[in-house]
Amino acid sequence: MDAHLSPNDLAALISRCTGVTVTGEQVTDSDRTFDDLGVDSLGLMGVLAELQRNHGMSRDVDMQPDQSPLELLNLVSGRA
Amino acid sequence: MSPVVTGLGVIAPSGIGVGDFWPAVRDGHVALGPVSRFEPNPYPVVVTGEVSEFEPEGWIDPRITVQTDRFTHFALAAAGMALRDAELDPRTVPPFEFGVVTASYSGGVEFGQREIERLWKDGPEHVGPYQSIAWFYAACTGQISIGNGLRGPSGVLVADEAGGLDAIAAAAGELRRGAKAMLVGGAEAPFCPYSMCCQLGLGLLSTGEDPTTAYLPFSYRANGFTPAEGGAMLVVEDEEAARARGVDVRAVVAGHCATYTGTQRFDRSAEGLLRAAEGALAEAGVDAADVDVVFLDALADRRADAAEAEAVRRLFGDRADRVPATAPKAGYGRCYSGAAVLDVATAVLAIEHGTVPPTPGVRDCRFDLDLDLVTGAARAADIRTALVLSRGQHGGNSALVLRRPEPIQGGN
Amino acid sequence: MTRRVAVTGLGVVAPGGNGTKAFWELLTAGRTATRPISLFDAAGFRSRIAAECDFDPAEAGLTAAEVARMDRYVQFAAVAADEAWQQAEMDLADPWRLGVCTGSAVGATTLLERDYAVTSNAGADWLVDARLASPFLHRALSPAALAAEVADRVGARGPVRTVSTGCTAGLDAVGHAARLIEEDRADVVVAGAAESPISPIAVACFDAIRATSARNDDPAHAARPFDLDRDGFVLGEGAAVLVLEEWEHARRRGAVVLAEVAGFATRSNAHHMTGLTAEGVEMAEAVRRAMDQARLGPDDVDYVNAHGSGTRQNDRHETAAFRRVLGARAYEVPVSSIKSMIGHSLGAIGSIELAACVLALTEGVVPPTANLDTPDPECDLDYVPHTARERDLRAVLSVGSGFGGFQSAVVLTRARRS
Repeated sequence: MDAHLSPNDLAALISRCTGVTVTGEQVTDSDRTFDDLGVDSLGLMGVLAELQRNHGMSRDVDMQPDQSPLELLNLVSGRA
Repeated sequence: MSPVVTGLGVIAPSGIGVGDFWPAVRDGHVALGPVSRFEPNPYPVVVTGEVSEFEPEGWIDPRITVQTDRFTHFALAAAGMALRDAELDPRTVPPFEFGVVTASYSGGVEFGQREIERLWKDGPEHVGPYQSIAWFYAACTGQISIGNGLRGPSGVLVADEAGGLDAIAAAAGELRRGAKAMLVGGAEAPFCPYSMCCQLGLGLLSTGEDPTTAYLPFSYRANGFTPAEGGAMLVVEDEEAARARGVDVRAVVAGHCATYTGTQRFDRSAEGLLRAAEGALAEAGVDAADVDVVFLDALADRRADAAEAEAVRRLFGDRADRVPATAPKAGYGRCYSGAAVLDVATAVLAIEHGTVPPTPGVRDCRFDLDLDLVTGAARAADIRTALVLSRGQHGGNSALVLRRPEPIQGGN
Repeated sequence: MTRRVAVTGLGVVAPGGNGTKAFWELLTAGRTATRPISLFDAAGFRSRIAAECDFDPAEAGLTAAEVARMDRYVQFAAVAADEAWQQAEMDLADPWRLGVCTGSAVGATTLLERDYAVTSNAGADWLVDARLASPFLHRALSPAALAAEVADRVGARGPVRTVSTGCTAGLDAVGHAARLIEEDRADVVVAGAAESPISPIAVACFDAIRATSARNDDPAHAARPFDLDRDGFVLGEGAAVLVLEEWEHARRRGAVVLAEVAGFATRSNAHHMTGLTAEGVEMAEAVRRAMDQARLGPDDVDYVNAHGSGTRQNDRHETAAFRRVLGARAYEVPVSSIKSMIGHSLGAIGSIELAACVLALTEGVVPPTANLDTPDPECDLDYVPHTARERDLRAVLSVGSGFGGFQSAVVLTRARRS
């Protein structure tokens, strides 16, 4: 868990891992899925792996591209 | 049915795009230089051919950039240029009839070294999700297919340098079986430390320190080749389809043949190259007497150069010293799976411009070879038939014959 | 005149037993060769199971020099080629009409990784120390080495190359080889594929995308194609080699023809490097083209050797493709995946599966799908669970699907008198 991970931090991490430019506002928009942002399953796996390695997220967490970055943010920051 | 070339996309140390590449090659410009892809350089090869001004920005979607190696960046960018050059929108080609074939040699080695370093240094969970699709030899064919919506027949051939010609022949075969268009070519980005470490074992790389004299094939000072990055992609189409859409037919892919004479036995390759050339000419329906220019493999190894010259001598007989032969790659290096494809692109340009580009840097072609090696400046020539020769590191010998298209008969 | 392509020799190195005989015994018994990884210490990896070959190169007939020079996957191919070449009893007048076409997806991964670890000081140095590299490392960079080694064994002087279309390479190599004969570029082509990917980097890269099974506590039942409880493929290794020969060439010398390569086609999904389309349109298209070349319709297909990797996505994808291209016949024809027993050896598996198809034709037996206990409701065909079946087979279809979006299909028919 990383309670300090901000929407902007997560947006930057997603951009770095996937090559998709993502803003903090997009991360907090619950209607916007990874699919909508153009992040595919491989990209999402890279994001999850990075959060598991460096932000204390459980290795059991799985997520699909039809879920939203906000769901991920809530998970990793312990709000879910 | 004739397979014809309608579009060229080239990325070479000499230039990105035909507009930059051709004048540099025609004028014998030497585009080799010191290694800069990694620093410092602890290896004995200090001169290479790098495409120093190429960065993926502007060429590749950032989402694709993060999941691909530099060799795929080259291939994707070259494929885009070839499509634009051919003025061909893939959406206008029937689905399942536009395919991709690439030649491969070392794969996505730089991406691969970064990921394997993470594994060994930090542990298995540090290997990223893109290693599985970035490093393997099929990455370029897959990404070109996906990036351009090409659902036709796909292929990836590996016969090292010679594989570039084999790939073009395979694409021509798909056109004969009914495909309407193919993107075909090869690209290489072999300059990460581990890849260089692997190449050193070939024992054929030049250790010359002066870029103007490092790679001098067929000269008395020949002492190995200079490796390069880059490559080329071509659009080849069914001639009727190309003419029907009113696009220029640049050259006809008329014949191909491949033989094998043993790994690292370049001294034995004379017979292999000769038979490949004869087979390619036979398929093209022309004689050795019809050949107007030869693009040489040019390993710059004394035995290998002698073997290639012997093949040319035996092919042309008395005429051998009067058929212009050239190795423009001496100016930009040898980019493995992309090397022969760049030669084919150069041959197409030579046919169009009526010009044989020179072998840069070479001033002292060995007398014993009896070659008419074009050196110094380009030579004007009326080229109807061009022969391209290539040898692979593992012993393949391939030949491809290109012909100038016949002018369309004036109709009424 | 159409030049037809006969299969006149067969050789296999596979998990669970080397040689064609042991391979066929394993398949027809429905035994699985999946087990904990022993080739390296897999502690810390997500998937720690594989289908490994119990392979002793010296025992298999390779010299010390060959063993030193060849990476493991090349050793597999050399031994399989020897077996196939011996069976073909070839008497060939012209080596320039003899070609070799081999397939591999990841080439000399094992050797590349071993030497990487040595030259980089176990990953510490980006600027690797080239002086520590093995003298054969340059042969590892390109999988053209695979074709060259096989060519040297059989004395080939014709077209020699490797096809490296990822996980369809084993089918594509045989298909490409058949075309060299059809197009009159060779009379005989030694065709096949090899892979030895059970090394840390390959296991890690499939871990990263969760493509492989993590059923580490029950490796014998981990490869579960079409089963509701499947959780990915199990990595395998091995090689198979087929001697392909122009039909009249084989007939003239009185060779025993095992089967005919009657059709081959590939198409791409242009969709995603690892993802598959739900409908299987492109695989269906490849199958249709291969059947067209063979002049066969859906009702002529007596057995389908599925890609059946055991990933959730694949098994539904190809079931959809079979329904699309075979129509009602899809529900009548037996479909099975031998990956349930010998794992998924990436570029090699297509050739190994074709070897199984040749044996199915000659022996009149359909190999089963092991571990298929609870069929996935979305996979509703006859997948021959657990037990092999005797059946008179005239034409079989083998398909493959690979990273890059590649879809390939090969049709083999029983040898018949021309």
